[in-house]
Amino acid sequence: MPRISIRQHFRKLRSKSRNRGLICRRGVEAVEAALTLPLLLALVFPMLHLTHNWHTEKMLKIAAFEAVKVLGHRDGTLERAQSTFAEYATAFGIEGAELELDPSFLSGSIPTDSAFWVRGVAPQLQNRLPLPLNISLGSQLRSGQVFYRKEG
Amino acid sequence: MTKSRRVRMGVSAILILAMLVPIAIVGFFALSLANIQRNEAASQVAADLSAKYGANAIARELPIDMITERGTSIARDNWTHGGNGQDSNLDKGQVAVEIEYGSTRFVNDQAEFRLGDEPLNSVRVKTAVPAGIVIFGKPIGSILVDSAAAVANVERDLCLVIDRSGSMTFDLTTHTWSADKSAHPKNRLALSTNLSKRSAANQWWWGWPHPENSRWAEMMPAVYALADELEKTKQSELLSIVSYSSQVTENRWDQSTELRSYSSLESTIEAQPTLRYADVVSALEHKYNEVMPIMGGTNIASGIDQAAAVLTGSRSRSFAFKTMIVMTDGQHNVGRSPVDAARDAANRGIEVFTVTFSHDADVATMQATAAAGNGKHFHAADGETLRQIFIEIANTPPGVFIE
Repeated sequence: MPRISIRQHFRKLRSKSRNRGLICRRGVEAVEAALTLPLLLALVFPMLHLTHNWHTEKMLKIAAFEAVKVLGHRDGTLERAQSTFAEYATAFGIEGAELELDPSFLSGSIPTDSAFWVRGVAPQLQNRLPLPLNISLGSQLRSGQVFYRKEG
Repeated sequence: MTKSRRVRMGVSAILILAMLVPIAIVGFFALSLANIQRNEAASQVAADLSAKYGANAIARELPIDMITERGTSIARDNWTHGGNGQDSNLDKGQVAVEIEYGSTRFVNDQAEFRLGDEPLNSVRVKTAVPAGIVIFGKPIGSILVDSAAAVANVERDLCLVIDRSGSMTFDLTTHTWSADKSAHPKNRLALSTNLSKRSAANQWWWGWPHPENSRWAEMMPAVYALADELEKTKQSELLSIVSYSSQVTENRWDQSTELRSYSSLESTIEAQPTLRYADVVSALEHKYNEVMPIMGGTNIASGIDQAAAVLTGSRSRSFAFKTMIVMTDGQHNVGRSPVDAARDAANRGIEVFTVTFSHDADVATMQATAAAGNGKHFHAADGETLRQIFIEIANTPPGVFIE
C-alpha cells in the first residue's frame, strides 16, 4: 500500500465530499442552531429568573416573619422590627430590602389583639440574576403579606 | 446527491426541537419544586405565627373558642405569595388548619407536647394546602404541603420555701454559733451595765442570725442569686416566698436590749407571687435580721402545704407550671411527714424540688420528699453550692417553639 502524507489524506477526503454533493451542508448546523437556540434560551432563562424571584420572595417573607415576631410582641417597636428585618435580609443576600407596613401603623401603635400585616419588598434590579430574558413585569420583588395580631 | 441533501437538511433543528420536550419537562419540574418550596415557607410561617399567637392568648386566659378562631384566621391569611405587587389569589378555603391544645413537659431535656393535658400551656397548629406544578401562574396537579408548629408557654410560678427554724442561726460547721457572742454586731447585751442583761449575752444570739457566720447569712446570697437569675430569664416568672418553723412563743432580747415575747407561726407567706424579686428578697432579709427573730422547730410539711396554697391561689397563673423549692438545714421534727405533703402538692400539679443545706440535714427524707413531689433533690454543703443550685433551678427553658 503506497504511503501518503496527512495533507494528501485530507485532500482526498474533501474530494470525496465534493463528489457526494455535500459541500453545500457547510454552515447548515450553525444556521439551524441559530434558529432554534433562542427557543431553548427563551425556555430556560425565564425559568431561572422565575425560580430566583420566587426564592427571593420566599426569603423576604421569612425576614418579614422574623420582623413580625418582634413587632407583635407586647413590647415590640417598629424600629426593632425594621432592624430585625434588615438583619435577616442582609444575611439572605437581598439588597435594598424594606419592610412595607400595614397602613394602620401610621395611626400610631397597634392595640392588643388587633390584626396587622407587613411584607418585605426589594428592588428587582438589584436582586436579579445577571442573565438576559427577565420576564418579570414589576420593578419590585414583594413577599406575601405576613399577618399577625398584637400580643398582650 | 439531491436526495442526500434533502435528508440531511434540518436534522439539527429536529434534534434541538425534540430536545425541547424533555427540557421543558425538566423546567416545569424545577418550577414545581420551587413552588412547593415557596408553599412550604408560607405554610411554616402560617403555622408558627398561629401557634405563637395561640400560646400568648392562652397565657392571657382568652376563651379557647376565640383563640381557635383567631389562630385559624392567622394561619389562613398567611398563606400568601408575593409577586408583582399582588398576593396570589389562593382560595383560603383550600388551607386546612387544625389547632390542638395541651401541655408541654420536659422529659430528658426534650420538650414533649401532650395533647389535652394540664396545665394547658401549649398550642399545636397543623396547616396543609395543595401545591404543585404551575403553568402560567396556575397550579395544575398538586401535592399536599403541610407544616406543624407547637408553641409552649413554659412559664413557671415559683415558690421558695425556706427554713427559719432556730438552727438557721448556727454556723455551717460546728452546728452552733460558736463565734464569740460578744462579737455579734447586734449583741449589745455584753456591753450592758445591767448585770442580768450582760449575763444573758451568751443566749442572745439564739434568735438573731449572725450576718456573716450563720446559715441564714450563708443562704441569703443564694436567694439574691435566684432573684437575679429570674430577672435575666425571658419569661415572667412569678416568685413567692414562704417560710416555716414551728408554732412557738418565746422571750427574746430585742434590738434595744429589751426582753420581748415573740411568736413564731408554723408557716408564713413572706411574699405573694410577684415580679419584684429583689424587693421581696431584701424585705425578707430585713425582717429576719431586724424585726423578727429566727426560732422554733422544723415543720417542713407546713411550709409545703402553705406553698401549695399560694401556688394554687388566685394570684398564681392557671397556665403556668408550679414549682416549689423547699430548703432545709435540719431534720423534720414537727407536724406531718413532708413526704405526704409533697405527694399532696404533686397531686395538685406542683413540682417539689428539695434542697438540703448543711451536714445536719436529713438528706434521705428530703430525697424521698422530692421523689414524692415529682421533683429533684439537691444537696449543698456550703453557701456557694447553694447559690449554684438556686441558679440552676432558676434557669429553665423559656416559652419556645417546640416543633
